Amino acid sequence: MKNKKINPPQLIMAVYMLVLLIVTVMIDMNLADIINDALIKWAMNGVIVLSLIPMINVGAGRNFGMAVGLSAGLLGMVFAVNLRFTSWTGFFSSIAAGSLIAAVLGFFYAKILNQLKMNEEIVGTFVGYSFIPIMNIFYTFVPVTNRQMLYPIGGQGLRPKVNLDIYFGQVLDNLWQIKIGKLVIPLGLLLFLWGTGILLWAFSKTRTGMVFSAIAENERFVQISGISVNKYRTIGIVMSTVLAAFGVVVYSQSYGILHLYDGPFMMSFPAVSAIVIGGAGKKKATVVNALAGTFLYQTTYLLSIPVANALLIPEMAEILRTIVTSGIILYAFIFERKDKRHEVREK
Amino acid sequence: MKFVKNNIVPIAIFLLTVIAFYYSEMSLNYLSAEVYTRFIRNMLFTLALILPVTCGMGINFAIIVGAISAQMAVVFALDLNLTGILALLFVVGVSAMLSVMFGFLVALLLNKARGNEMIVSIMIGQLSSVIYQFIFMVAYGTVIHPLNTDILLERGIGVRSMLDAKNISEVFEKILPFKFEGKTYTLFPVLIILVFSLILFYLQRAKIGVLAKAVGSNLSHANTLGIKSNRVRSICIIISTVFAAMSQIILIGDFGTINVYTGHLGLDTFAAAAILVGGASIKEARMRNCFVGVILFHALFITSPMAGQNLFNNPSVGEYFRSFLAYGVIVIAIIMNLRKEKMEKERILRETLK
Repeated sequence: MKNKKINPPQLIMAVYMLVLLIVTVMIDMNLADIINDALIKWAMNGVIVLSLIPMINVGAGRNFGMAVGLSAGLLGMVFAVNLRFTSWTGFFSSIAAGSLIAAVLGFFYAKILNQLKMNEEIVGTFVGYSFIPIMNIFYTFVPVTNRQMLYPIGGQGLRPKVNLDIYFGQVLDNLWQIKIGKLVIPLGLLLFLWGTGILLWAFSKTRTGMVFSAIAENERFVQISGISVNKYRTIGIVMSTVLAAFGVVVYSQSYGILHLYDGPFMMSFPAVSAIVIGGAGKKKATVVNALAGTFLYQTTYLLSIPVANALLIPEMAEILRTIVTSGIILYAFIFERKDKRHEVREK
Repeated sequence: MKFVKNNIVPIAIFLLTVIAFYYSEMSLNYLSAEVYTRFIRNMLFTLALILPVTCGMGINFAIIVGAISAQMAVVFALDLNLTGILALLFVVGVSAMLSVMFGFLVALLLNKARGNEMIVSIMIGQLSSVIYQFIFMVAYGTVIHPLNTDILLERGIGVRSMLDAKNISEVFEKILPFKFEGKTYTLFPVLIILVFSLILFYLQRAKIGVLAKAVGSNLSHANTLGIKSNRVRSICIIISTVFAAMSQIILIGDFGTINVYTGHLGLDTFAAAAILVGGASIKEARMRNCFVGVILFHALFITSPMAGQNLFNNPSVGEYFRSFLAYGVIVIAIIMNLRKEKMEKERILRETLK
């Protein structure tokens, strides 16, 4: 908690959100609806953003290859839906199966990234990109028996979008809802998000968590003191991958649709952008960074939709979102250079 | 044997292409016609990647910016109702100007993000692509009022997503046409590619090429020698952007219509995959890598969906396979490059210890 200063992206996003908020109030949007949606969007995307933390803290960069973990989560859900598991059985068996697959995939992902220290981000991006077509081939041939998941014609290959409503759609969203007037607070969903956050925070206080930050700070020093850096990096990367699988299950149950094929293609950039907005550095990210950043990022996107519709240009919301996403990531990379120079001088 | 070892990637892709061609059951004439079209549309993009690779910046995914400037120039020409050779000259001039300007900005950002150029260039490409979309979707009709209102959507805001670029394609069709398999193709793009290849050939041997090589092989040595490395890197990026702009003009001229919002997307990945398939690495690229790579990659690109259809009764398998190939080859290139660097370092260490 040393760095409490508000960084420029946070400031810009806060001002941007304020402007959007004023405009939405001016065009007579219902504020209660907006708050309800904002809370759901926050928790829906929050776990995915939290999944970046272990990898950043172990010094393996921001996980641009998140598609690996996301695909594992999707596979877990394919498994659960294929067995027609509903409600909580479906949700938890998805998470269980997804994290098992994610652990295996994460291990191999870590093998690749451990060879390519300092280049994790660019390699991760393309590992993620190239993993998606592999998964697509898998989705085309996977022997699934649940007819609702298959293409209606031909009966081979999964549909790109599978409706989850009759399985476990919104199961977490509807848990322990508190209704105050028009406000609906999805307490269960929020508790799940915060619970994951608290676990991650607690993890950072354990011995392993301490070693993580030591590696991020000075890898060579840790290596000399006899600790296997690659082992801890593998743990961090596997953790990130498993959490990404968790995240996509939470995301999909809230979305109500299982989005396969190119669904995870562009999910890593918004997540990275969110954690940067929250103030995470290249080698240090806290749970508060992730949660605050996700809230700012998702709420501004949410607010920009009615504004864009009011201006009769609905495409604008998506364009503005992408401008924010890539602009923030660009800022992070260009700003980072100062830290790097600092390190070189210390050596 | 050494030849095989040094050219393992192109040879593997060549074998894959032969297999895919065999199972696709296409005629060789059809394939060569398709490859010809894709060759002229993508060749200059791939050539544009050479100089940034030489000066050690990796693959410049920001060539999208060059494509964007060409698209802007074409829309402007349509807006001004220009036709014939005048339109082509206008497009070439304006896009060259814009791409020099944008290239300079890209270089400015890339020089600040040393060590992360590749991923930063991806982000620059994405950002500039959405800003460009924003301008033509929102600003046109509200802030900018075009002379030619036909290019606008019916609601009066935003440019149509497909515009007829006949003014340029007419010029293209008239120069050196030839008939093949009943369709008319032209040799004009090949002529342009030839000219630009010669320019690049000259640049590689001129002062800038030598300096780029010095900067690329060892940045700190180059700096101590008094080479202004940032300036060299900027010039390389600007040249690369201009090449990309010219390539996009060829693409639009050959295609005959312009996809205002999507015409520039994906070109960077194809170019990167092509140059790496041709045997280049992220530290070293030659012109022959480009020519071999473009032909091989696009031949595989055309044959693989049909091969997938015939082998698995499913055309999408081939499509997935080719996109896996396009991204996967980039991962493999980076891994191989870093291994090579590591081995080199160990060798130097061993020699100094002796």
